Amino acid sequence: MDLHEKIKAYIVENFLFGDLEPLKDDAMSLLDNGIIDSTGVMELVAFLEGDFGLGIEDEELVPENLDSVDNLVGFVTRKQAAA
Amino acid sequence: MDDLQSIHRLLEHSADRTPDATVIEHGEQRLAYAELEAESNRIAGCLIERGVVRGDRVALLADNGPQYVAGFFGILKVGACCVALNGANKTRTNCLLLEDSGAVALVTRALQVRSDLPDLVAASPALHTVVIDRVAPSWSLPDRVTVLAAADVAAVTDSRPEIPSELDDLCAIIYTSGSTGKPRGVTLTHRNLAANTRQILAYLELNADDSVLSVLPFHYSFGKSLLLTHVAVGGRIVVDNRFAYPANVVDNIEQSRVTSFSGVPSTYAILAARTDFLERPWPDLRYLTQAGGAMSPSLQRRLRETLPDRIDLFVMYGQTEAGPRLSWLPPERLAEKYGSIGIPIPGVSLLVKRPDGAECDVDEVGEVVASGDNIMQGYWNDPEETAEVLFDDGLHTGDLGRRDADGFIWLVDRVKNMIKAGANRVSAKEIEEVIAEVDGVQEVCVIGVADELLGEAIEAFVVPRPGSGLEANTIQQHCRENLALYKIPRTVQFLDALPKNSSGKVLKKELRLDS
Repeated sequence: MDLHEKIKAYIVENFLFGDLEPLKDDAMSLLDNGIIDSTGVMELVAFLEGDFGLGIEDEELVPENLDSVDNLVGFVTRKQAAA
Repeated sequence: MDDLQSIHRLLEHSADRTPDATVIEHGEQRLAYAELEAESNRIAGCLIERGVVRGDRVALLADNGPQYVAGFFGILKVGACCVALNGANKTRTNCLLLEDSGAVALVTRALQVRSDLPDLVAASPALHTVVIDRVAPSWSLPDRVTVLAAADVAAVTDSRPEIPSELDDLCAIIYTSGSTGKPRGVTLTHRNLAANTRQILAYLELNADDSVLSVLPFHYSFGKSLLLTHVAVGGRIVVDNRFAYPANVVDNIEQSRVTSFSGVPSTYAILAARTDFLERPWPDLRYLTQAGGAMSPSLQRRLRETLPDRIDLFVMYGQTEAGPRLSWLPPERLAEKYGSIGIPIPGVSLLVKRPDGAECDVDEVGEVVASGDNIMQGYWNDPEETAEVLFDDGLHTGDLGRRDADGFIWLVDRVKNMIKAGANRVSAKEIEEVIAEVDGVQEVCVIGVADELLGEAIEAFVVPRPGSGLEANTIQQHCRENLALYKIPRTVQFLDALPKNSSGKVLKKELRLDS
């Protein structure tokens, strides 16, 4: 499973409980579309830290990094490249 | 003499005293008191033109921001009662609340209701008016409903409507989870909210130089009290609706130079764990407040010992039914009383009582009973539920506590079967009823289990019908479709049978031990 698939699968499994339909495209805001709330963002961060072994700084918890599948893929890619 | 005033008079007085002072900021939007007053007068004018009268209920569905605040005060200026709905609710829930309240009008935003407006309208037979920023061509609404958009509102006079109102008129209905699973409408009069506002101002010592950054929704009683106390003194409210990204919120607190910040326990848990909130010097912050559930003594201690001494930390306790504030822990006593809910606020009596109504001795556990001008009138259209909590001696909070020798109260347990997830009171029964709708569910029991971040997390135990092949995802998906996000069980466990006593009552304590 590539990075994109893995992130998307996590969101679909953990926040949509297997239902792909609400996630209409990979650019849509997860927060504004009611897919996650503030607790969900914290779970998402724990997933990125755990499954990808990333060290995420507090100031990186911003929508530009976390608020869509595309943003997440870009963020993880940049973090892995910098590691 | 009774010198309390109706809640919309708070805005009118501040608009008269300091018309140019900023009342609310949200991103790039900034409204002065005179501008907010004018906009709320226009909304009131629209509602009056449409025949809304004193005593009517008008629903409000909007995120925190200038539109919410103008709508709220506009509704009150008509003499109507504001029924603020939670945008996190599923439409199915808000339909129920609209119908239950008998709302005749809805003030909302297009982004908030989106394609669900026709469903909301259809659910409320009494509804004849929608005030909204813009109209989507795809909405098909019945003839009984008139939609007024921004241009219609702008065309109405902004002069102050002079509608007589009494302190004992209903001001707000706030829906909260009830033990039966059905949401209950807490009815608060202008007197209830004005009294509580004054009581809070007395111990926070707020003035016109004060300001707050609010991440708490105004439809929620804690958020509402932030709004009312600051409007009462001519203060400033900075709205930030994106606490999901806490680093941005911390920057916003600093950049907006507010004098206070308010949160529920999980707010502070997230700030402490995932931001540099505890490391910044905060030259402008005067105090922090915390309510909406019990914050762990260890986190209280950490906040107190890490933040500069000059920043007061107010730990508070209350209930929506009390408008909401009931007690506060004076900041100078916090370090000796970590974990206590403190002492009654001025004007409130908070007693710990035995089942026979007698007051408990020092350190004896009993139910916390509250009385004062801030206590609600009852639950909307629900005399039976009202009779379970309102008695001659006041509001029976359902919280068990003890009073120490210094008069400080400590909560130890709850009488009722409610879960406090985040700051949200959640009815286990409501979730159980939704899960029971899933095909293949034979029996279900929902409990709250201790959780570092949320206080309590929701867990569901399900007995599947033999051979049904039921999966946890199916249940959680159904919850997601029918419940607000914060009500979805974090885990679903399957059991062959629920533990029960001899009379068939489910033993939730045993489930808690197993989880």
